[in-house]
Amino acid sequence: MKKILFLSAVLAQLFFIAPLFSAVYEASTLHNSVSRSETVQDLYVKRWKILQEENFYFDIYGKINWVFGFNVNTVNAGYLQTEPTDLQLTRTYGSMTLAMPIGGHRATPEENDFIIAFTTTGFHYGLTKKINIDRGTAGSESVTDYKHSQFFDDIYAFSILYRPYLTLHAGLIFNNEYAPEDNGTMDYFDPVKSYSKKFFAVEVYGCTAFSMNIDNGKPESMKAEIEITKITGIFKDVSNPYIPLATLGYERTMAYNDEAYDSVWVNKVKNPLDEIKEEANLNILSLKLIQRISKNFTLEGFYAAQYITEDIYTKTDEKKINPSITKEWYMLINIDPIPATPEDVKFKVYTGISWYWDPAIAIHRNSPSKGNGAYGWILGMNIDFKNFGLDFMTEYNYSTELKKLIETSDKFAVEGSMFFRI
Amino acid sequence: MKYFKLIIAAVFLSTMFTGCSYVSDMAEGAITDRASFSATAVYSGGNVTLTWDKTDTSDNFTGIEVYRTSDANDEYATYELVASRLYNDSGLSSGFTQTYTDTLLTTYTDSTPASDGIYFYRVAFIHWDKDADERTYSTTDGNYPFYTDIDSISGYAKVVIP
Repeated sequence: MKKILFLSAVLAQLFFIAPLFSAVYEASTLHNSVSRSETVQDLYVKRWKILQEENFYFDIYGKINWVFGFNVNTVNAGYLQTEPTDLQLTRTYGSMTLAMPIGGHRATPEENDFIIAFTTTGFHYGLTKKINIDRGTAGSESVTDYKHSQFFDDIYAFSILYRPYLTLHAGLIFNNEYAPEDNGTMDYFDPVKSYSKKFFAVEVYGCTAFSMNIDNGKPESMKAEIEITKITGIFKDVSNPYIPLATLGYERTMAYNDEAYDSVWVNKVKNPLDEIKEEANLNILSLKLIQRISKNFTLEGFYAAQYITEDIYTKTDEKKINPSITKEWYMLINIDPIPATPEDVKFKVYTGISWYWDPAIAIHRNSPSKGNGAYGWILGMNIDFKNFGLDFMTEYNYSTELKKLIETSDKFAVEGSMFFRI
Repeated sequence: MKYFKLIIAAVFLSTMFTGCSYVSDMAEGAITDRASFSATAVYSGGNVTLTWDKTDTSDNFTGIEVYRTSDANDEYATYELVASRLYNDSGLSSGFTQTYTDTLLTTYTDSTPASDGIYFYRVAFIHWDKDADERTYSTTDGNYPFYTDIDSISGYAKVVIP
């Protein structure tokens, strides 16, 4: 009974954390270009993990995510002064793929085929302000204005698939930053910063995957994964659906670079005007386990340990940070009440809890004294009709979302996505 | 099927050249009525004159509405309706509940602006969400208040009123 009460208290704590007030910060902290490239690349790879199992010619996928409660210092053009203003973070993601099978699609996953494909993937994020419009007898509506810098990151990539043996992706990542007009509109044709990076990914026999992005000839981030169960399957029968699927991962990112947007200094406290910039790489080793526990339930567990190559110091109180060994963990339960028949309809409800560590969490959360580790939760559902599908999700501090943008710490988010495929 | 493939190719090519991030942002902007064009406001001789360069020739176009912030010196104050005009097939009709000028399609003059302070104006293009045979036009509201929405709206036009 005590255990149940304790568990209930922990869950209540996770689900009902209501921000009493929000941290106020400068919009410039939303500029982490390294994580932006990594995010768009991760979204690309995640989409292709689904697509490479499908026989298709055309796939379009879109996602809209709103995060509420960004209290950011913003100029009010009426008062002519800067004041904390309640803004909303808007993130949109789109992906479009055209695939051409040479000699037709394979009939079963055991057969092989050859496909070439071209994909454009894009991720936009930026702050917006919602303003009420009173239309008199016609009721009320609202308008949203762009506020502060807006970021548009796109991947243009070619893919070659020799299924089931080899998948290759290569392309360019374009990062564009725009400064909106004071009146809330924005000119898409006039970026204030624009640069490009190269992107490369390979997957062998669905067992190992490697991806990398390169900026000015230098690897900015790289990621490798080994699917242990699938490799075992080469030598032994692992077709039993109750055998856990284990994936071992490693990634290395140039996460801390003494840039203005970084939350930490590398190796020592520096003056913001110093020209000397040092780098610290973030190394992450992870293990993911997926275990079917019954016909309609699947458990997913993930653990990641981290090692930062140099000492890091906070910019706020200039103290050395002792990073947690644990970078991230999450546990997710998937409930798929519709059995695999008919196979063309898949319905899933999922919920989970997580913990994530990052040196910037304390800066962006409601109460910095809570530290750099954040518990979170997620609740969502998706339905997949094979050619068309929808997904709805809400989360608070969920680790995979914090990883995309750490500034979303201690903020609620809702997200909707859909795809169409033929 | 041939046209279907052509449509897909056209969508793909246009997205390829504009970038998926821009297309998805435009979709989000349409959902949340993002400010999408600019307007300017000038104060002179007791009047505020608004101008904008957007036009709308679609079948669903209903008319234009002009709004002004309810409070002085606050960019984020609620906007209130100060003028609107119905538009129908026979041309501009006077009516509805506001005072209009025939030039409201491209400009508007607010002859009774609020006083003392900085105010913000916006211009909205209104669309019917009803089929053409279900729309009613009249010198009063008709079903305008119930079956119209903002299709596009300008960024703010700021004006200092002495």
